[in-house]
Parts: sequence; C-alpha cells; structure tokens
Amino acid sequence: MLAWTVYISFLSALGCFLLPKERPDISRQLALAGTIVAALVGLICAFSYAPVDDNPIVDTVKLSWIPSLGIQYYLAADGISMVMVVLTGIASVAAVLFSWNIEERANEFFGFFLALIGGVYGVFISFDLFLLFVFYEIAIIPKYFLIAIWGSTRKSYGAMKIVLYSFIGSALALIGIMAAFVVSGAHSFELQQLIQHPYTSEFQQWAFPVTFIGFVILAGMWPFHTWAPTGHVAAPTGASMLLAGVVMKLGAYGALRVPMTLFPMGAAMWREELALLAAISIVAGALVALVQSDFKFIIGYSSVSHMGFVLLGLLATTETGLSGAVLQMFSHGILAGLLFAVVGRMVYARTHTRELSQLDGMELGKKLPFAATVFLIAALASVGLPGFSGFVAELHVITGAWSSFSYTAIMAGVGIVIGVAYSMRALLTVFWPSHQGMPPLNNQLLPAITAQEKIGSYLLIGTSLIIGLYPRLILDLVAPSLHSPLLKPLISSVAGAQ
Amino acid sequence: MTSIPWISLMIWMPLLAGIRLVFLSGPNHKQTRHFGMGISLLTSAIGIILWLATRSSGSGEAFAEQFDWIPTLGVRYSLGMDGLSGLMVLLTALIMPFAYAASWRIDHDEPKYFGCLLIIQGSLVGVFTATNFFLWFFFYEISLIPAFFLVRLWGSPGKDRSSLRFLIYSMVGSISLLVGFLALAAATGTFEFATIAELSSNGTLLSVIGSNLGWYDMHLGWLCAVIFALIFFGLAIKVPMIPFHSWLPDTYDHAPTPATMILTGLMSKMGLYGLIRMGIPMFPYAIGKLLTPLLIITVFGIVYSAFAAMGQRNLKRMLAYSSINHLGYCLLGLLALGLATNGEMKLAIHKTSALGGVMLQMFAHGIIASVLFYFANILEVRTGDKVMIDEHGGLRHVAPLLAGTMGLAVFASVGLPGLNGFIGEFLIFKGVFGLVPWAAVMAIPALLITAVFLLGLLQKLFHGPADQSANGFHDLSLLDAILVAPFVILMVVLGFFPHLILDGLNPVINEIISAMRF
Repeated sequence: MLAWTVYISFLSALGCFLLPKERPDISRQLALAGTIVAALVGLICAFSYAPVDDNPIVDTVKLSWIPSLGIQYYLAADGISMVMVVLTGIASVAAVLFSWNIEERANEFFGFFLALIGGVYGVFISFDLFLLFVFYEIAIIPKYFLIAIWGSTRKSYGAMKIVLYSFIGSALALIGIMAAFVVSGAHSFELQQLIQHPYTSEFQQWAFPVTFIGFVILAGMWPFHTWAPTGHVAAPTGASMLLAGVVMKLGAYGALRVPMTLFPMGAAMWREELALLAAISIVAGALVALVQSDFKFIIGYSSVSHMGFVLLGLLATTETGLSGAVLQMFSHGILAGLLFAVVGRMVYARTHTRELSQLDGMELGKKLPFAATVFLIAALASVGLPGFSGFVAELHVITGAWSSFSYTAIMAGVGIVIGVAYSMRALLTVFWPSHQGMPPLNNQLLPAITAQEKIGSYLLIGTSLIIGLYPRLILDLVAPSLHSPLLKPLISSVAGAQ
Repeated sequence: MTSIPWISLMIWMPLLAGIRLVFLSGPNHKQTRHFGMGISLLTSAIGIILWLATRSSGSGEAFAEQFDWIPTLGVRYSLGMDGLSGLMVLLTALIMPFAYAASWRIDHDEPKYFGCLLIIQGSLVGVFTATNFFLWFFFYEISLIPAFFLVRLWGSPGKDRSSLRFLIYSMVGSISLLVGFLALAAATGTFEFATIAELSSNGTLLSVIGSNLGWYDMHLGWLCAVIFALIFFGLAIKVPMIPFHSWLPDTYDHAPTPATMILTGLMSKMGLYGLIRMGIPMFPYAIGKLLTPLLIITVFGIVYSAFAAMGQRNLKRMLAYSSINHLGYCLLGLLALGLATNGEMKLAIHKTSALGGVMLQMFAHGIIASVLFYFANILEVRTGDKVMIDEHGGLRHVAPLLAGTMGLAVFASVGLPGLNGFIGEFLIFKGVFGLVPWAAVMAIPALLITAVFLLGLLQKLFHGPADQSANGFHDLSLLDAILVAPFVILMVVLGFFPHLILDGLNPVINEIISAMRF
C-alpha cells in the first residue's frame, strides 16, 4: 500500500500536465487532492507500522527489474522511512496550499511539483540502492524547472547552481554505491544483502567520506552549502517549502541510509572531522543569517544552520543523537516550510519586496497580524521553544553530541543563541519596528490572508506542536531500526572505538 | 492515586484557554475577560483546595502524576506537590485573580492580554509542581513569552527597550541553566530533582560526574564548579541577584502595573524556588566552598538595593529596588545553608530556621509586593500616569482608606512585628546569625534604610498639604476594597499565626536540611 504514495504522486503529475493551461483552478484542486491522498496513505501506513521481531523493514513491492545486474524494484520501509514519508505528506499538502496563488502555467507548475514529490517519496521507501539513486536523480529535474520558470531573484543562476551541486553530489554518491556493489560481489543492490558483506577498513576509509559528502551536499553541509540559500531564495514559495522541507532531508536521509549503514567503520574513522563541519554549519549558517538584508535569505541561511543539527545528530552516532537527527529532520521540514510560507507567500507576494529596510516602514505587524503571529510561532519553535518539535529535537542532538564530542555540543548551543538573535531581528524589523510615529512609507491596503494560507499554517503549527508535546510518536517508530542489524553495527562500532 | 489529575488540570486548563484567547481574531471582544476571569478563579479554587489538602496531610503524594514522556532522554512527565509546591501554588492562586482584576480596564487587545495572563498562570503552576528539570524548564520558558508580550504590547513608553532587555536577560539565563543541567543530566542519567539530590546527599554525585562527564583533563572540582555556576547564574538572573539585576527596574517600571504585580509577586519566586529545588540540595558542597564571596556579593546587593531604592523619585522604581532588597534576604538565608555543618546539631537548627524564614519571606513578599504595586496602579490610573513621588501629597485627606491599607502594607514590608513581613525576615536573620554572624550583622543596616525610605514614601504621599493631584482623587472603591481585603487580612493573620503556613512546610524543610550532611 505504501507504494501508492509514489504512484499517486506521479499519476497526479501526469494528470496536471494533461489539464488545459487556462484552468489553473482544476490543476490546483487535482494537486491538492493528489497530495492529500498520498499523505493519508503515508499516515495510515505509519500508524499500522508493525515490525516483526528484530527486522524493522516491512516490504511493500519486490520485483526483479534488471536481473543481469541484480537490480530489483524493491520498495519497503522501516520506521525512519515512515517518519520521512509522513513528513513529505504533510509538507506537500501545505506547500500546495501556499501555492494557491500560482496563475501562470499552473498545470505545468503542479505537474513538476508532484513529480518532485513522487521522486522524494521514492527515495524514502527504496531499499534497493540503485532504485534509490534513480529516484534521487528524478527529483533533481523538476527542481530545475520549478525555479527556472516560476522563480524570482536571479532564478536561472539559482536553478543552475542547485542542479550542478545536486549532480556533483549524486556522482559522488554513485561512486560509493557502485564501489559497495562491486566489492561485495553479492550481485545485488539490496541494502540488506550489502550490509552482510564485511567491507575492509581500508575500503571503508575512502568509501565512507566520498559517499557521505556526496549525500550531504544536498543536506547543505558547510562548506558545500552555498547552493541552498541561493536556490531557496530563487524558488517560488511552494518550491522553497519543498526544497528546505523535504529535499534537503533527502541528503541527510541518504547519508544515514547508505554510507553510515554500509560503512560503520569508516564512519567511526571520520565522524569527528565531519561532526566539526556539522557544528560549523550550525554556527556559520546562523552568523550569516544574522547579517542578511533580504528577509528570505535569513530563512535560507537558517536552514543551513538547522540542517547542521541533523548532521551533528547523525555523526554523534549514538542512539540519542540518531533519534535527534530524525526528529530534527521532521521538525525542520515542518518549520522551514512554515517560515518560507510566511516570507514568500504572506509577505513577498503582497508587498513585492523582501528588503528589510523597506519592510521596516510598512507596519506589517498591524496590517498582517496573522502573518506576524505565524512567523513568531515558527521562529520561536525553530530556535527551540519548549512545547514545539524544535526543542526536543535539538535537545536530543545536543545530548548525543555531548557524549561524543562535547565541544560540538557547545558550538551547537552557541548556534541556538545566535538563532534567537537573528529570529528576533527579523521579527522585530519586519513586523514590529520600534520607531513608531514615523509615517508608513507605503500605506496601501494589502490583500487579506486567504483561507488556504490559514489552513496551511494551522496544519504545520499543529504538527510541530503535537510532536513537541508527544515526541514518542516519532521516537517509537525510530527505536526498532536503531536496535536492528541496520544500525546496530554503526552504534556499536563507535562505542567500541572509544 | 486519585482518578482526576488535579495538578494537570490546574496547568492545562488556563494554558489552553489562554492560548485560545491569544489567537482569537476579529474585533476586540470585551466579554472574553469574563470567560478568562472564570477560568482563572476556577484554577485558583483548585489550587487553594489542593493546598489545604497537602497542608493537612503533610504531603501531596496523593496528587502525584507521572508517565514516560520522552524515553530516549529518560524524561518523565511527573508532577507532584509537597509543602513548598503547595505554598507557591497557593500564592499563585491568590495573586493571579488579583492581577487579573487589576487589569480590568485595559484599553486595547483585551483577549490577547487576558490570554497572556492565563498562560502565565498555567505555566507558573507547572513550574511550582514539576518534579524534574525538563518539565520545570518547559513551563519556565513558556511563562517568559507572555511576560515579554505583556511588557512589549501594553507597557508604557520605553517598553521596547525594556522588554527586549528582559527577554535577552531571561534567554541568557535560561540557556545557562539549560546547559548546566544538561551536563548534570548527562552525568547522572536522570532529570529528576529528587534522584539527583539523593546522589548529592549520599556523597556519590561528585564521583558520578567524574566518571561519566570527564571533560579532557579538567579537574573534577572545577568541572563541578562550572556546572554549579551555570545553574546558579541562570537562577540568579531571575531572582534577581545583584549584579545581574539591571533588567529589573526598567521592566517593572515600563510593564503595565498588573503585569509588574505578577513579575514581582510570582515570577521572581521561580528563581528562588529553583534554588531551593536545585541549587541547595544538589550543590551544598559548591556553595560551601564559595560561601564567603557569594555572601559578600549578596550582602552588598542587599545594602546597595536599599540605598538605590532610597534614591528613586519614581514610585514603581522605588518598589522595584525594594523588591530586589527583600529577595536579597531570601538569597542570604539560602546561601548561608551552604555552611559546612561538620555534624554539629546546633547548626542544623539554625539552618532549619533560615530555610523556614526564606519560604515565609517568599510568600510574604509575594503578597506585600503585589499589593503595593496594586496601589501604585491606583495612583497611576487616578492621577493620569503620575508615578513620580513628588507629584503627590496630602492624599490622606481625600483617600483615608487608601492611606490606611497602603500604610499597613508598607509597615508589613518594613517588617513590623505583628505583620507577616516580620516573621520571615526574623527567622532568616536568626538563622544566618547562628551560621555566619558577620553576614547578618552587615545586612542589618539595610533594614534601617528600608524603614527610612518606605516611611518617607508614606509621608510624602499621604501627609503634608493637599497637592493639586489630590483634587478629585477618589478613595478606594468598594471593588478595590474587596480585592485588597484578603491580602490585608493575610498580612495581619500570618503576622500573628505564621504556623498556619509553616506547619505544612516543616516536612520539606526537615527533608532538605537532613539531606545536607557533609
């Protein structure tokens, strides 16, 4: 049943392309229906997820595809996949709701949009690494068109940059996957088959960093992150929400699924250097966000900072750290979507400017109180206000990082403090500037917030709140994988090395 | 176990109702304040009943609630009520509806304002009943957000700067507290206050930190000192302890006065409460080591804040410095507990006296300070925002009732025997004198200065020739009188019968003191 998340997305994409260009309303409704049905399928599967004994992987489809190379069409899911599928579902529904104002070539927009979502679902539920790689590549193409056609600020530059980075990353990842396949001699790309093979530590020593960096380029790890802010800013709102919300997660998920699972010894050798890079991502992303003059760039760089938490959690390679990484992937997926929605849809689509100096005089806190409130909640939740998902996630990551490399935990703490600062700066400048009494520069009335925007905001805020108050919804899904043969070697190789 | 989770009800009912009000859109609904007042009163009623129940049974075990919340971090959702929690819940139950009523005539965005008050009420109950750090911190943080907005959106001119300052100080304190406690939790593997206190009491805390939290070659003593310093610093900002106090006078001045009642009456108690739950039982050794410098700072703070209060011309700022001064006595009493006992029974008696005094003083200060700020509010509202003391005079002629009740409150604040402010200060000084005589002696001059400026205040406001501002000044209305009456009665009754609340506290006090063997 889980495979239907992929099929529904691609079928709706096809449907959108076939719809007439003059009727954007039908395309929207089809896109909304498609994403909602796929999200419901994902939710139902996640709630009925029941691993058997110590095997966390639940098979969905397993067909032979290219027998001569041992490639299978193999879709399955463990608890971590389930979390990512649910995230994709919720983020995609919200992204459609915030793309409701797309009029120009709406059928193609939603077509590319749904194709991207289909590819993302595919990555999360592939347990054949070749298939995973195929879906990973499929997801790149729609990104390019979404940015190049419907984007803003330097859109062709941003689109090209994001595609080039993605291709370089996937080339590196492909090298790792192929090497693992050839060396194992198992004649199979199936993850469970590959982990049986005892890769030598000399092999792991080079294969791990190559594959890991290949994947985390897409997760925006410093110093390979520069595509992220540029691409996020250039993209139309719905696409920014997906890019920051789920596409960056593809990189982190891939890094966990492929190099960290296959090459645990390599992970133990390199994790300290890489954890330092992750911690630098957190601090550098936050510092750069602090000095931006474009509202959307602040959020773009904050994504780099928050994804740094995911990577730090992964590289702590303890149970707590890994749980935290998954929690943070989910949390950031929801909250980054919400922040981009406020900046791109609620503010930019109405004011047509993102310059802080111009927004400053518009008294948006009075004109768009809803946007101000949503931004406040999203900003507080993502810097770690207790009660929202960001807090539990960051706490898990920091606890995990502390027990591995305590100085990275301190850097992460510093990153949170800077996070409070840039969020407050954006919030106070855009919505509640302190120099009252100055006549507003631009006194025209702004269009009211639409019902779609409200529903989307409630959906995302509600999700973050539920996970923040009851994180066991995610933690209980993740736990079986942590204790299974998939990740056990990773956690114990590190514990043994210390 | 009771079947109804009373404490959770007391937390979540106002919290959820408050969130609902804050996000109420559309035109301003004045009638929402009745709804909010109802919720607030209902919460308070439960609080008072629970306090009575814990007081008569000596413990609130029956109300404890717990379940596994975040198993990967070992965090439980656990609430409980002992004598101290009960007392603080009682204080919350008394002051919140009072502040609510004092805000009745707020002039814009009523639902949001009253929503903020309800959120504070719920989260304060959470802070005072949580039995582990995670949950405590959760509610602690939640309470800061509405407090920031109360100042920012409804404050007087200058509010932007003060609210930001309040937020930054609070955030820095929170982060310091969080980091310190995470280190402690990483070492002990638990967030529960009681478990960590027990480790400290049986002397294994140091070795546990040493074996689980070795940071490179850092000396164990230094490591413990850093953890203690982080936690202590976080809490000291909140109390506030001089020199971390500079956010307070501005915030108290620019906040709407009912919010100041809450800030001083209740929220400053979160810091002291945290010290009693975390600082004292977990780090008696560290406090003992640093006793002399900490006491010097505290005593200096007490005297300094008294002089600062004397120099103020603005009524609210004077009361703000006076608050710092009164809470300084609490800090003095708490820190003196860190003196090494070396098994001497006599010192344990002094410690019991000091700790009991601290708790009484917390309660007394909550009541007195909120009543004094209520009167400041009346002066402000009825004279058109005149808060400078020099602008008033001779009010006794037109407002005898106000003069009488405010006089009583001021005398209670000065610590006149027979009123509730006296007992706490007396017990603290008695205890501290037995433990660290020089600190007690050096703090005594502050008592005199307090008397000088508070009595001077009374004289200026009420005596002398009737000033222009006295024209058309109304005395306390019936509603005012009804609101103030319970507090005035408490001041007198508790002044004569402190055991009414002290009895319920004895089990906690003995537990903390007897655990401090080293």
